[in-house]
Amino acid sequence: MDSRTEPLLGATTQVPHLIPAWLEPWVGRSYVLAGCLFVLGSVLFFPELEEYYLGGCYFFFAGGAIYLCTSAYDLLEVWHTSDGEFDRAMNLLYVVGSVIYLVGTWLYMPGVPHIGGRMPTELGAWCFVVGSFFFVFACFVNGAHTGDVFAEASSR
Amino acid sequence: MKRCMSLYLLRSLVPSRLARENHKAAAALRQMKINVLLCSSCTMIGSACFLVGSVLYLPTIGCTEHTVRCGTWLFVVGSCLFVWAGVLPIVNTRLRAANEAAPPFETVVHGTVRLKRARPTFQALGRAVHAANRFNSSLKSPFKSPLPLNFPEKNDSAGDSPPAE
Repeated sequence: MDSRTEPLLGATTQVPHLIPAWLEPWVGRSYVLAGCLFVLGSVLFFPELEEYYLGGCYFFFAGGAIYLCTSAYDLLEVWHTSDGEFDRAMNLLYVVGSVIYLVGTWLYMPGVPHIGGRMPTELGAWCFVVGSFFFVFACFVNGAHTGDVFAEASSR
Repeated sequence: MKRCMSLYLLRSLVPSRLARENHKAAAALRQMKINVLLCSSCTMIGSACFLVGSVLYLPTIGCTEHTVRCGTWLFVVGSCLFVWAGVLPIVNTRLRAANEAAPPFETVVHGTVRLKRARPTFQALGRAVHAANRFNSSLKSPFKSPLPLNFPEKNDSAGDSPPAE
């Protein structure tokens, strides 16, 4: 397994092996792209732009799909290169959250039938609530782990 | 006398360069901490915005046009924070790349023993300082290195071994 030393943190980081190293920065950039798609999708959800509502759904779906792909890649990479439970748990939470978001977006699409006597939009909103909970929890895990890393770097 | 003066100046140069390197690394680490903290905060607040925005979309709490508008605004703010959270690690990566210049110290591994020693350029400077000390021991600089310098002598075989990266 290839590894390199982080010059400032003094920690050993792994060189990506699932994809070529030159492609790794694009994983980070795809997070930005997904965020931009979320912004566009959210704007089209305003009541004033109701005629573009479907476009908003598609933008949201595309953004969620990119989040899912990048989170899944991060999870696989971490699974291969790290034994840290924190890293695995964090990425797993992001992946599950992204899947729930994707399902929620699909439920907002027109033409989805009622499920269990409930409106699909209601179920979609619940999916967003649960998915957001996963994201918040993942942030907590990430924050705790990052705090540990920096505390170790400062104590050296 | 001229040589003594130049070596004296050289000796005072060693700690100042080390201190500058240390200061640069500390500043970069501080900047990285700020970036990571900002990134985590953006993701956290963005997720919280999504959470509240989603709740405002729930028909069971009496979803009206006003709550939908508020929810959508929260989604827009949350998405913008996600974008910002995606941009900050890219800045962080550039920051790391800028600090990949060789530090003044290197770690040499001999079996299971890890030793820290100055890099060859600093070793050369250190040897010059030692030579100056031997040449005239009365020349005592008031400057002391803030870091433990381990300069091997020129005829020391351990010091001439290639640096292990």
